Amino acid sequence: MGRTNPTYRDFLADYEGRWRDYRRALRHEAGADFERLFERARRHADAAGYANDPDRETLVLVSMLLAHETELRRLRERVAELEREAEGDTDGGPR
Amino acid sequence: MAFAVAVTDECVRVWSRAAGEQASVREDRRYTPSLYAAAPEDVLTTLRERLAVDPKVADTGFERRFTSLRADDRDRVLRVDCERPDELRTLAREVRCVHEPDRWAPGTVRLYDVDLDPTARYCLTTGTSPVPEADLRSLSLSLPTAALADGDPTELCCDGQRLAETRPADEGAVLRALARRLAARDPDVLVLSSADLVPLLHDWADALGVDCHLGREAGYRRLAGANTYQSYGRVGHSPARYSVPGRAIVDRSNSFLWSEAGLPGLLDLVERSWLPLQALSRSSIGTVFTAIQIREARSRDVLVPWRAREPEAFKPARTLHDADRGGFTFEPDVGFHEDVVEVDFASLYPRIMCEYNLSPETVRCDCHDGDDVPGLGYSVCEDAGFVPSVLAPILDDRADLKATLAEADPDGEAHERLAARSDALKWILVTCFGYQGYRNSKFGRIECHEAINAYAREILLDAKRRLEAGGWRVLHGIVDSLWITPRVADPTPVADLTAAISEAVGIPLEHEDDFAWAAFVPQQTGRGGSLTSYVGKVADGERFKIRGLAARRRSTCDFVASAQRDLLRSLETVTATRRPSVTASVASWPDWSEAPSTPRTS
Amino acid sequence: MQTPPLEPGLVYVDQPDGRGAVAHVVRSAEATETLWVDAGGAASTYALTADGDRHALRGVRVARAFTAHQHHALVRRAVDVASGRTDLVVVPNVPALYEGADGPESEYDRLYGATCELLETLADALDVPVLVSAPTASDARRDRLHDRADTELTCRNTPFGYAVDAPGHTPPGYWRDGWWQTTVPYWVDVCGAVGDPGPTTADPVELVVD
Repeated sequence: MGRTNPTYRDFLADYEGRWRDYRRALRHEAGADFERLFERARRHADAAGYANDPDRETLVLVSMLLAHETELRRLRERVAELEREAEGDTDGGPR
Repeated sequence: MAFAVAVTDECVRVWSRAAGEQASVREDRRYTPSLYAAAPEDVLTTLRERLAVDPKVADTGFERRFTSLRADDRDRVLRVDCERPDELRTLAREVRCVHEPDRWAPGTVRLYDVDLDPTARYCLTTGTSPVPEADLRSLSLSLPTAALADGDPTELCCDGQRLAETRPADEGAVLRALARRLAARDPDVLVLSSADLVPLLHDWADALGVDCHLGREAGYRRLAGANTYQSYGRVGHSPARYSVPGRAIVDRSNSFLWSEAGLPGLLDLVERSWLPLQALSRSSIGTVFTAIQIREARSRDVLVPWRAREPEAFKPARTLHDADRGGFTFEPDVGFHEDVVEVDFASLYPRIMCEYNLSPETVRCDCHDGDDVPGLGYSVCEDAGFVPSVLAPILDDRADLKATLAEADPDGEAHERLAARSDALKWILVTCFGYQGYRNSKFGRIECHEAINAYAREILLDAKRRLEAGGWRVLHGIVDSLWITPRVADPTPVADLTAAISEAVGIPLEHEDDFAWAAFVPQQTGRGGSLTSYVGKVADGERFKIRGLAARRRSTCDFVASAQRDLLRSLETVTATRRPSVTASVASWPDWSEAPSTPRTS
Repeated sequence: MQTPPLEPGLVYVDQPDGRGAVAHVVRSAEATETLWVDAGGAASTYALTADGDRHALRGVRVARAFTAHQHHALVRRAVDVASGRTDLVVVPNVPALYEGADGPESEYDRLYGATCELLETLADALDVPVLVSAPTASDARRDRLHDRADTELTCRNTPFGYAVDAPGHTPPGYWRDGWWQTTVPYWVDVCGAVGDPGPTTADPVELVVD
C-alpha cells in the first residue's frame, strides 16, 4: 500500500538540494567543507529516521553537530597521543 | 487422495492412484459451487427471490457464517449455488452490476467466496484431499523455443533426451516414440518446457493420424488464453493454460515455484494450501499464501471477501506519524573491514507475527484496550491470531527440515528433496509480511503491517545494544541482519550473545557467516553508503558473499561481472600484503568484443 | 488570515499540483477536530506539520483507503466517527482509487457517484466544511465532484508557498516563520488605492510590494 510519509533519507537528499544556490556561491575550499557537512548528516540518518521528529531540519542540524563532536573527540585523542609522545621524547632525551 | 482435479461445466473429474496401482477417475456430476452474499435481512430476501428464477442458479439457502476475521458472531448470509462452475463469476458480477444498482446503494450487498481457484474450491468444499497418495511418476518434455515458435516437434526431448533417432527427423516418428514413452512410464505429472506443447503435439498427432495424446485419455482442454497485462507499471505476459485428462501439467516457463522448489516443494505446498498440483505450479507465492489462509479461514467458518473493503480505523494523526515507518536500517560504515561476523534473525517478520500474535484481527482489536505495540499504542488481542496459526506450522516445519538437512548427506537424494521443501517454505515466509500491506490481499491490514515493523525496529535496536555491551561494534544492519566486528580485544563470544538475545526477544538470532573481510560500498552517486550493497569474503573458504554489486545483478554483462569478480579476488592480496597490487589483468577477462549483447540470465 | 474562512458545505479545492495544498488549507483552518479520509497518500504528517510542530497534528484523525471499496466505506463511516466537536472533514484525491480499479468500470463508476453523493450528505448532516479535491482525475470524474461543490477554493503556487483564493476573497498576507508577507489587497485595505479618494488619506500612497 506504500508509505504515506517520505523517508528521512529522502528528505535529507531533498533538503540538501534546497541549498544548491548557497553551495554554488561558495569558494572551492568551503565547497568541499560544505559537502562534508551533509555527508556527516547522512552518517546519522539511521538515528534521525528512528527519532521520527516532524522537525526534520533540526534532526539534520543535530546530526551535523554530532559528527562535529565525534571529530573533536578524535582530534582531542590524537592531540593527547601526540602530547604523550612528545613528553616521552622530552623525558627520555636531553633538553 | 487425488493428484489431478478437473472442474468442467458438466462434471468434476478427480484422478487418484494408490501405490502400485493404475490411476482411476471418479466423476462428480452433482457439484454446484456456492458464493455467499451478506446484506440487511430485507435485501437478502429480495435478492433471493430475484436469483431463484435465474437459470444459472441451482439453489439458494440461508446459512450462518462469519463475514470477517474480526466478527464476534456469525451473520445470516445467503448461499447461492451455481449450476455451472464457469458461471460463478458472471453471477457475482450480475449481482454487483445488475441486481444491486436496480434497488440498493452500492456496497449494500457484500459478496464472498467468489474468486477462489475452481479446483481448490472443489477440494475444500467436498473434503477431497489433493495430496497424492503414491509417489508421483513424472515425465519431462521440452522443445527449444525456436522450434516451438515454428511449430516443429522434431527436436522434442523427453527427460532431456532427443526422441528422434535421426536428423532430420520426421514428425510421425517422434510422436510414435513419445506415445511409447508415455505408455511405458504412465506418468502422473507432465513437466513441460512450455504449455504450448499441448496443442502443438495434439495437432500434429491429429494431422498425421498418429495415436498419441498427452493425457490418460484422448483430448485436451484450454483453460485460459494467453494474455498480456499491466501490473504496478510493468507489462507481464501470462501464457495460455491447458489441461489433459488424468495428468497434472507443470509449465516450466510459467512456474516460479517449480524453478525454486521442484516437485517436493510443490507437493509440500499442495498439502498446506489444498491447491491441486497443476493449479499450484502456476501460482505466485502470494496466491499460494492466500490459498493457505483461505483454508484456515474455512476451518474457522470465515467467508473469503471478494473485494478488500475493510478499511483501517481512524487514528490520531500523531499515531499515523509514529506508525508510518519501515524497518530499521543502519547507515553502513563504508569501507573495508576485517574480522566481520554476520548475525541474522531467522524469518524475523513471520516470527514476530507468531511471537506477538500479530494478525489483521488481533491488532487494534475491539475487545482489549492495551498499549501493546511498542511506540504505537495499539492493543493486541490475546485470542489465537489467524495469521500466526497459519504461519506457526510453516515455521516449525521449516526449522525441522533445516535441522534434518544439517544431518543429511549433502550429495544424497534425500538432501535435495528436503532442501526443495525448505525453499518452498522459505518463499512463503518471505512473502507473508508484504501481504499484510498489499492493498488487494484478502486478509491483510495496514495496522498489522505497521505493528510488525514497530516490533522489528525495537528488536534490531535491542540486539544492537546487547552486542555493543558485549564488546562488538555494529558496522551495518538491515531490518533483520547485523554485521559486527570486535570493538575490544576480548569481546564476549558471538554464540553467548546470540543465545542471550534470542532468549530475550523470543526469536532466534543466528550466527550466519564469518568473514575474513567485508566491504560496505558507497552509492554510485558517491553520496553516503549504499544500504544494500556489500561483499564479504567468507573466513574459511574461497566463497564470496555478494549483494547489490554489479557482479550480482542480472542486468550486468559477463565481461563486467567477471572483471568485478577478479577485482574482488585481488582484494585478497591486499589483506595479505597490506598493499594494493595488480593481480587481475584485462587479458584474463572474456573477450568482450565477441560477448553477446543480451543480459546474463543466471 | 491566510485562507478564506471555510463555510459549511462541500468545498472543492482546486490544487496546482498533487502535493500539499489540501494540507496547507487544513493547517490554516485551525479546526478543533478534523476528520481526514485519505487516498493517494495526501495525509503526509510532514505536510500537516510544515514547520515541524508536532502540535499541529493535534485534533486530526486520519484513516487511509487503499482501494475504492475501502474509500467508499470510510466516507460512509465518517458520519458515525465524527463527534460533536468535529468542525472540518477532509477528503483529498476523491477519484484516485476509482480510476483504473480492478473490475468492471460500471461498478466503480456507480460507487464513485455514490461516494460523491455521500460527501454532500455528510456536509449537510454535520453542517461543517468538507474539503474535497481531485488533482489527478479524468475530467468526467472531476466534474462530477466539482458540480456538487458549494464553494471553490483556488490554490496557487507562489514563491511564498501556496496562496488560496476564494470568490470575493484574496488573502491579505502569508505567515512566514515569524513574519508576514503582505499582499497588495492588504495595503489597499489599510491605505486605499491610487485614485481611490479614501477617507483616511489626503494623498494617494504609492506602494511597491513584491
